[in-house]
Amino acid sequence: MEHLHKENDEYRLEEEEAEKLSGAQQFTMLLDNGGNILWSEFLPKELQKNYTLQDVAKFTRYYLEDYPVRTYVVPEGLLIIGQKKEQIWKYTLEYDENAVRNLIELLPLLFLANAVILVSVPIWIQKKRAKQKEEERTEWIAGVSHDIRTPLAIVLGNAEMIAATTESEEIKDRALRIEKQGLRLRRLVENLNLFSKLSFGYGNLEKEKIQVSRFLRKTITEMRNQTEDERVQFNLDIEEDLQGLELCFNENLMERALMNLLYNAVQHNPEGCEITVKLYQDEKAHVFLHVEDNGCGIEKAALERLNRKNYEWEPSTGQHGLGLKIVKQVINRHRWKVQFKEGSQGGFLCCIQMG
Amino acid sequence: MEKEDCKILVVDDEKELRELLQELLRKEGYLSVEVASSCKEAEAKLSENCYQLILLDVMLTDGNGFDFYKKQKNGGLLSEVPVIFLSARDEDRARLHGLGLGADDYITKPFLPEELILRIAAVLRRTCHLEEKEQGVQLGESLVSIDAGTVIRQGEKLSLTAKELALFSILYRNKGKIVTTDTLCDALWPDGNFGLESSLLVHMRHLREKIEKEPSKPVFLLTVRGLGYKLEIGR
Repeated sequence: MEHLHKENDEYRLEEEEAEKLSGAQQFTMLLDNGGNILWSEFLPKELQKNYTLQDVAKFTRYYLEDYPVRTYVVPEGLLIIGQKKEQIWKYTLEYDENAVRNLIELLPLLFLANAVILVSVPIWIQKKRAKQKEEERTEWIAGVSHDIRTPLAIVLGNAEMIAATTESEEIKDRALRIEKQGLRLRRLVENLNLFSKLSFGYGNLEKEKIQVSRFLRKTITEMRNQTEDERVQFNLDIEEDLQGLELCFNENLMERALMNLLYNAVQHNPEGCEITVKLYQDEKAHVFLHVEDNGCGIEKAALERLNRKNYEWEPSTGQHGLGLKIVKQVINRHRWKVQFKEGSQGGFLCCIQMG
Repeated sequence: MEKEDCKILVVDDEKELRELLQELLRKEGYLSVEVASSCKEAEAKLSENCYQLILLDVMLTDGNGFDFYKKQKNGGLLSEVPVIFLSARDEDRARLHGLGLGADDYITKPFLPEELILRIAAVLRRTCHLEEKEQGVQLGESLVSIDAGTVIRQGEKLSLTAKELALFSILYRNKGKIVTTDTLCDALWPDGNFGLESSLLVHMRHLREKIEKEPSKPVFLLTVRGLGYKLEIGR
């Protein structure tokens, strides 16, 4: 207002201010108490009129014909400075005082939420990076095991060729030993690959409805056909009522788990043993699968370690326990339960609760 | 078609494995085995010759076996030829992908030669109706001829029923190994085998009566309790 001067009943704006107004494409007007325009500068044509109380109330709060305006109370009446259309968003705020008070009380909580976000976002990013790293490692292991497979195929093939064609019993025996160890290597590579995949997640677990007795017969037959040592005996014992039982599971993974248990029993009992696979039901209709041997068993401390959620084998024993780790992973992926115990004849017992 | 006339093409980029497979197949009586080390070479061989079976590695230096197969399958060089994939990838997904493309089998490396031979024989049996030519299987006093479907025992000729012959054939193909009752039932009654284990038992009894000296104490056609049956030949 101090830049507006009244000379001979005429209002005149200082040159400098007028330039500012036109530069910003603003306009201004001065209304008297009756709503008549006393003076204006750059006022758009449609606004050159007499203003009623209603008009004043409207444009004070919102817009004047879509022009955002600011109003100032001056001795002469009302000074209005308007902006170009669609330049300013205007809104009148009105709050319940109680709400404002509550908001103040909530502020610490909001602050806390912010802090949580600030802390968790970096953790999330880190986790994502770790996941990516894990993925890369899984890929890498898959690649390495892929590269081991071809040379292993050549080793196995040649060993069998020698065994099949030689006249010498000794050479034949040695060739068969190479073959046996080659097969052991194959199992290791497969387990290593599977372990890294299961640790990472293995994507979706594809399950199918499978007749359990049929699955057990097939897997144990395969194992028996591979085992030449006659001191190892396999028994399959399926409760009569469960012969037709069908469950939903991933057959390949379960076959691997069961094979690992059977191999373990064979490998840890070089003098031979009797291995019993039993499928039965308890009084609550829970289905159990037992894989038990009557061999040398393992120490109590080792059993305890095996049953821990995340067990690691003692590095000093030289055992990595990959086979049993896979058993645990596979069972956990099916949301079943697994426990390792001492068998009824002192051997090793793996007890799986299949739902 | 006879075994020695079956033309087989082995495609693998690993020279050692190629040679091993060639030697192995020759030893088994597949006398015309040829090799190729790349997709390009395989393409050249396929356009010149007619093969009864291709063993195709998945990872080749100049391309992927799956892609090669896909490209040549429909109307191409492989439209009529059975294919067995040989792969160093053991993921179920890769396996299903290979079989899904229409391949006849998918074998993971490393494999036992014995296993490979059995599976090759299975494919050729299906596609070329190639049966193992056998002179007859001597089991004690009995001479079983699968081709004729007969047992000759002490000068007497007994014929086997279709089911008995099928049963014996499967056991003979897996001689020395246990075959589960499930597998046998599936083969004898392909339309579903629910509750047919007792029928299997009956056929087995008849087969034993024709072959074994003492059917109640078999020495060749053995029962493996809880699992299945086994043909023991080595005795």
